[in-house]
Amino acid sequence: MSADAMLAFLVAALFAAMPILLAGLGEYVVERSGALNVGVEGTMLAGAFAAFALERLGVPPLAVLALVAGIGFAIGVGFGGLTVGLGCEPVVSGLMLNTLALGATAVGFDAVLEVVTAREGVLAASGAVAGLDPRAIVVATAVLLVVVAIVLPCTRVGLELRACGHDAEAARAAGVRVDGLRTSALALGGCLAALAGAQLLYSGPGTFVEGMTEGRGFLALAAVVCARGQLLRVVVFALAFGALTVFQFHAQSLGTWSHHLLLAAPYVVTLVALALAPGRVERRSTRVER
Amino acid sequence: MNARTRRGVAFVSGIAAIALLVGLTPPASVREPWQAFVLDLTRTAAPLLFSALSITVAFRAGLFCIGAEGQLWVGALGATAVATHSVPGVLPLALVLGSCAGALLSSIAGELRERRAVPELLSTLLLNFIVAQWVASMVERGPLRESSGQLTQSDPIVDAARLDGVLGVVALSFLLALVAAWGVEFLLTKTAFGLRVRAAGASEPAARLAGFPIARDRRLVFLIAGALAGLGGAIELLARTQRLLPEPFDGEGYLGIAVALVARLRPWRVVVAAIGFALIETAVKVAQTDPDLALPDGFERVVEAALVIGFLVFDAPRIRTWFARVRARPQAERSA
Repeated sequence: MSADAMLAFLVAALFAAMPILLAGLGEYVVERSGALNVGVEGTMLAGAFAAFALERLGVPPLAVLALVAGIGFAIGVGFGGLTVGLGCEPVVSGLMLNTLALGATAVGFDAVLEVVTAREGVLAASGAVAGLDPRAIVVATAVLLVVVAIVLPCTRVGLELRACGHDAEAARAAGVRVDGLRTSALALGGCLAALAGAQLLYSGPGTFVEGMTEGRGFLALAAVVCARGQLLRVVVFALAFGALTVFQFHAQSLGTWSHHLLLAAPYVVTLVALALAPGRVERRSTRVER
Repeated sequence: MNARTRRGVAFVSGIAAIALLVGLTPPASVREPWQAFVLDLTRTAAPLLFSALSITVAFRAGLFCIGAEGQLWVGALGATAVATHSVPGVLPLALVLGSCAGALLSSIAGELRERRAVPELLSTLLLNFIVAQWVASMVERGPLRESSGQLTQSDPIVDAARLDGVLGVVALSFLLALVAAWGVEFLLTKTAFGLRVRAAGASEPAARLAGFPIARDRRLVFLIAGALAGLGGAIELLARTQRLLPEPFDGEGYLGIAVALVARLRPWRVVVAAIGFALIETAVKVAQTDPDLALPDGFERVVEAALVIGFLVFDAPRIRTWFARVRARPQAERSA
């Protein structure tokens, strides 16, 4: 591989890693607060669809981003209300959020196509999305990463958030508003996951496809659990998944590898990484509080 | 009526209802619409029931396995591997292989949990994705691709392996699922193993203090849960599709979690909940084929998710205590 090809590969891997990194960053904050949102996948899908639908309906790009973030925020708050506020079973709530998003975006996609086709014809409905420059999102993600890396360990609110995750009872006793902080973390996580979906739409096929997240939300979730509480490892995992995705495209075009083997690769890698990662997983992160 | 008589009445009336349904044997050619509906209903309920039972066993042991989906898939895969060849005893062999495949898949998650402390929630989820690709590759390029090589599906299973029998208007697969439900109920409530498992699920420290062999029991739970879902996958394949498709299931394993939780992890209630979910699914399917309504594609998922979320809210601890308080209030007033 020449130096140019190598550089192209790395850049492509970086772009492919962005949705996972962005969603993973949000989920990292959620995980630190002692919650876990299995519905990242659905939130991403909802974000991708919202970005598509809003653009089709003639909303300017920056407003689209703001609205997508708002929708993700609402989903996060809703999930927080269900699981933290009412105490619903979080795993099932998350899985149902995914099912709901899968169904609702499919229904909504049909509706949007119908509306746009009626107004402007088939071409306008099926054309590529004019979105933001993906480079801007890479920069924004990097900035967010730095912010999280500073806020969580170095500020009071970061300390309180980590305290919620470490020992909720102790934190509560010390006067920390555990439920409020967790819901805020979930809202932030939803926000970032939805934006990750939008990023996926902009850097990907240029139009919405049913179920287009293809498990990337679950990979983000896996990256966070694999990382065992270390932000740097989330980044490494996300980049590795990105590289794997790009490698998939290359190998597929060569046709030497089984397409399915390549599609399963990220999950196999994650499973192996989980099994080999040093240190015991803190059970707390997946335990359901009844 | 005390609890015992109530249970007896429920049991007898349940048996009577099944006998009635089984007894209404219609000639195969003339079927009333409602009979076809019941048949369809029980057929739809069977895989849901198996996956929900699998989830029930795991959750009662305090294990958050969500791998029933993948286990259904490998169960179907294992059954196909045998059932496409005419070998003696093909039907039991296919069922056994299907259950073993499910159990094996589940035990991967079990070993990862016990040895490497990998959360089973995540490992089972990842295994579901891996299995999905594996099954698809087996029928697209692998050895199970149909011999004519035209479509991405396996050969049809041999006639001897078919399980599409109907007793009266009830699908045989559903009756097998009922037997499995009885088995799970027996295992959980009438055996020492069941007691240990429930104890470990309710409070691990307590079970540990009691000296229960928690690690060994958990491994067994993983195997049983996997075998149940694997068996469900095998039965569904032999009873319904009768050849392996690249995507043999559509989320039944995930829906099973909701079924099990709606039933509060009690096997007999799981039966009722599975029938309820199947009823909704069948009704939505009927509505979707109606051209007048023109329901869009993802509609059934929205209905499904909305229902489960609605139930979760209704069942949420804080809502439940609120209900209890509302119900208690009139009595308090009366006594005052």
